[in-house]
Amino acid sequence: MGEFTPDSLAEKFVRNVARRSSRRGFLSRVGSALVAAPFFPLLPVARASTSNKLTDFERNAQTSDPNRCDYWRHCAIDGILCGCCGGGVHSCPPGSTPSPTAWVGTCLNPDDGRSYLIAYRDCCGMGPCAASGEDCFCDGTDRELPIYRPQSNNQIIWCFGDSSMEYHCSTAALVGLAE
Amino acid sequence: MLSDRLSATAAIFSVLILVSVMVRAAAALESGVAPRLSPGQIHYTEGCGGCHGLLGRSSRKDVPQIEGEVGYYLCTQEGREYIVQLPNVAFANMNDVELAQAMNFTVFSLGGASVPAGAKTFTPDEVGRLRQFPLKSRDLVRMRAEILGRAITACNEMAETQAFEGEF
Repeated sequence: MGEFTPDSLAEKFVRNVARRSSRRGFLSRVGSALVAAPFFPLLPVARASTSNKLTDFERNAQTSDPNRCDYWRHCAIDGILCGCCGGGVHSCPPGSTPSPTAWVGTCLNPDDGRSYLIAYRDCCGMGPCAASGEDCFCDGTDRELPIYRPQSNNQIIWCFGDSSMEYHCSTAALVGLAE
Repeated sequence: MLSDRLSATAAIFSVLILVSVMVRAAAALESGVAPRLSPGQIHYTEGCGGCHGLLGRSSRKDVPQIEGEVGYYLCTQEGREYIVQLPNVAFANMNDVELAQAMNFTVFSLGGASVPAGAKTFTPDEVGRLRQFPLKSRDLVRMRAEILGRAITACNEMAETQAFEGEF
């Protein structure tokens, strides 16, 4: 012993590694890594990389209360939420009728990070709904286009095609995935 | 004790896995409800479906019906060109590939029985060429009636010829 040949150095190193580590320890670390891996895409780290593309609305959107303006599907709604008037996010209040025409926007669902097509269909045939909620009059403008692109503009009273042009409130029905 | 620590670790991991599965299930809920659409249907829905109806059914009083009717236009060359040169089609917020996908969904999926046998699908090249010449008529309603009339006549003649040939 005492000689410093490459062989003996290598042997010393390998023996040291073997003394300090165990096969079980290695396996458990691999196991932990496997179990932990699926969590990482759910952490904000992964989403931060795309956050520079998010609109203000998308950064603050929530998915639990459809009767508020910051509900994710309302990214481009302009009007009174039908949910505040006895209807719902995709149903008209009693007495009003869904317009046969609508405009279609695209909103990002913050839960799964995917974009969905949303049909903004107005309920018509009655005067404006007297909503009592604190957050019922909304004006989302994500991906809305100027009025000369009427099919993508929300300033329009989307009641044409119906028997009455009287605007009551707006719904936001999910049509499908936009990707 | 080692075994205690192991079982505690196992328990923590099981809970974490469960939470992960639940979070993913909740996230999948919207996509489970929302149908998956073809690219053509997505472009149609976004650019046309609001007024023409998500499935091509519209209030005829204000918006031409697509479902079961749009295929007639493919019975004549002028009809085929007309449906691409319509201002809202030619100027649609889509590139040529997307517009061709939207046209093919509109005609072949929504047109149903109105599509003549053997009709060719639209290619991005054809759509790109046609959309350079958007219609400038001030009387689109009359133009539409005339083009549709000639198209339906042509469709009937084609159907008769095919029926005649079918007898031999």
